[in-house]
Amino acid sequence: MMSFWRLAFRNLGRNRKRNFATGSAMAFGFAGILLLTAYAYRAKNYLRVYTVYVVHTGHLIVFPKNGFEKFAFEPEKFSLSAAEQEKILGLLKADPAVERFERQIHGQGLVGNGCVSLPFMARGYEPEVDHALREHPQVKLWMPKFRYLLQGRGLEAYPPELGALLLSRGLSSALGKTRLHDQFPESAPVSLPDCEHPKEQAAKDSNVQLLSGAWAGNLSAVDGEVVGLFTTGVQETDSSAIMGSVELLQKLFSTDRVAQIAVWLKNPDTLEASRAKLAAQLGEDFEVLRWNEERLSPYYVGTVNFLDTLIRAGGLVLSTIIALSVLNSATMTVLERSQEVGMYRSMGFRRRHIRQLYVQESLLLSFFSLLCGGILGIVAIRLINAADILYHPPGVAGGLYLILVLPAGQAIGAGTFILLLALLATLFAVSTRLRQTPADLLGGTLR
Amino acid sequence: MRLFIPVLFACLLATPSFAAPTPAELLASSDRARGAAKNLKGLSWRSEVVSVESGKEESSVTYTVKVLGNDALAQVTQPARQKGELVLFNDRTLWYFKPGLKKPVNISPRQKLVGQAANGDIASTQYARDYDALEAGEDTVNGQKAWKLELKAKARNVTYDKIRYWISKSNQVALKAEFLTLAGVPFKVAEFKYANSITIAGTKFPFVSEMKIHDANNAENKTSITYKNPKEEAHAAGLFNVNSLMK
Repeated sequence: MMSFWRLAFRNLGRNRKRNFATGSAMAFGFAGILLLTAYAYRAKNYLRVYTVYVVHTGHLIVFPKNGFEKFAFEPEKFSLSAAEQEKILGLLKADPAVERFERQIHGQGLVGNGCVSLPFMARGYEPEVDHALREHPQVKLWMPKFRYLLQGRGLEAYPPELGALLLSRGLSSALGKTRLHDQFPESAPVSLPDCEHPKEQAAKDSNVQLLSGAWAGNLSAVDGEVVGLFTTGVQETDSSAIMGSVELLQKLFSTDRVAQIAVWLKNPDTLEASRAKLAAQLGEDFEVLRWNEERLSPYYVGTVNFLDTLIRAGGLVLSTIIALSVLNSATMTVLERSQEVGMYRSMGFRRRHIRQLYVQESLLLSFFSLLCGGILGIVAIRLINAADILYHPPGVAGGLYLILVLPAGQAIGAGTFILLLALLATLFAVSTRLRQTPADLLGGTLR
Repeated sequence: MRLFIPVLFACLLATPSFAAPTPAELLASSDRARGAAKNLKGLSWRSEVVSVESGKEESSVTYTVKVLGNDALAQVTQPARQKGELVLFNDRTLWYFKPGLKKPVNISPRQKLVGQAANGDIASTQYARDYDALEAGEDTVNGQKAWKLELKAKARNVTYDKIRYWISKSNQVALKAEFLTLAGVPFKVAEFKYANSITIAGTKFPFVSEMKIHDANNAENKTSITYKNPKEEAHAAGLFNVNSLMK
């Protein structure tokens, strides 16, 4: 057996140029597959963490029946009453699988600086939960460079009666509200509007007014204090988003109801089981949705589907190149060495021995090529990560850092797949030639 | 005799007339019956806005409205939880304010106020100022002969982009309005009644008593504005200064 390995190793040196070309194709192909895999793995996890933690979707989300579709049209009717909130929160507190939960409310209106008003989309969260999510280990792991709080402190640092809110950076710029609550003395008065110079006027204090239709139908308005600036990470909302506490938005909409309750699980692998359990406990008057359902997270689902298609297409192209390279190389080698094969056969070697010899040659070549490709891929990933490349995908505010994370399991899987592919291509090339008789092989009649 | 007919025809053409009023004149006249206080020391009245959604009464809000020139101030008197809320009209600029708020909020006349009524519907109507009018023939509304006008907004910050407007031939007041989208599709329809009157410089003019607005696609969604006790009344110009709202 050992002599076959030695023979196979020596045979690899007989046509170095061809084997080098085949090995290079495999090595670069494998490195390419590793880069694609690392990009997709990181992008999917980035999107997962962004969706679940940064935008507060949670792993599960509880709506009143039809609330997801109809809340925007009839918020008073398709929202959760105080009694319903109490019931749901009681169940969640008693469930050991639940990490945390949050009442949420959202709506739109106009935000004014005393001179001009602009449209806003506001989301109301619980400040302590927002703080915990910003510091969540998953966020630190997968989005280490993402800071959605660009300036100021979080909502949790201020008393509820202040009416603290965060403005998205585009909205802050458009309103001229670039100075924050902490940058003014405690007793600074709110200045009267001087709308001849609206930008200068706006910068004199951190006070804004939110105006919206109350859920009962009349107009309503509340004062707010800008305590921080944030980015949504998405261009289309970065100039209109406001984040405030649930209490502030309940006051604006003159209600004690909330739109939904988000739930974060300790172990996200139990997603469907936890959803089914909560849905059974709550009954037919409520809906419990998973975070990765398309209607709830269309951006996540759409992007992940696109990435999967990209990876499949890229993987298919690279695999085909590798397979054809190995097939071509093995066919040429077998053709060149057909008299040698005939000699082995006439000496008493069986077909399986010859097949074994070629397979071992292919295994050695593939193994060294994959090793080189793996090293090349890992070095390329490290270089890319060290380069701090900021790129700007469509719709992403502020751009994204190109960071690649290689999952070991998927890398080993890809390597094994390429190895099998190379072996199959070799077997196919050898089997065709081995069907010939030793006499034909020795005579070289079919070369 | 051979000259008689051409001369008669020429005389008829040259006769100064009993010609129909121009669209601009019709708008000015109909505006007066809907609260425009041009060349007056001021007007005031009370409005009750009742909103019905899907056949069920949703809300009822009462305002006192004061008008001076191009400015108007609508203040909520009922219900108690909204008492003191104000909508100030400075020409085409609107401000919302309520007690306790640190600054007024600049709002759009198009924004929904209550039910089908937009902010711009609550105070006086200034269609002569805000719209270009074209005559679009004659029609009959509830048995009354009317001129039909097509109105197109002169500026973007007015309540509606386009209006189809019917003005009575007998007393030059608006009978009906269709509020249109930019594509020309009606989305709200309003009808008017004139049981009130107002005396200006000794002359009695009809004054709007009810404006009924309904959703063009769902007549069960409707809002009625009832106008009560209209009178000419002097107002100080300072009342309409936005800074005075916070004092």
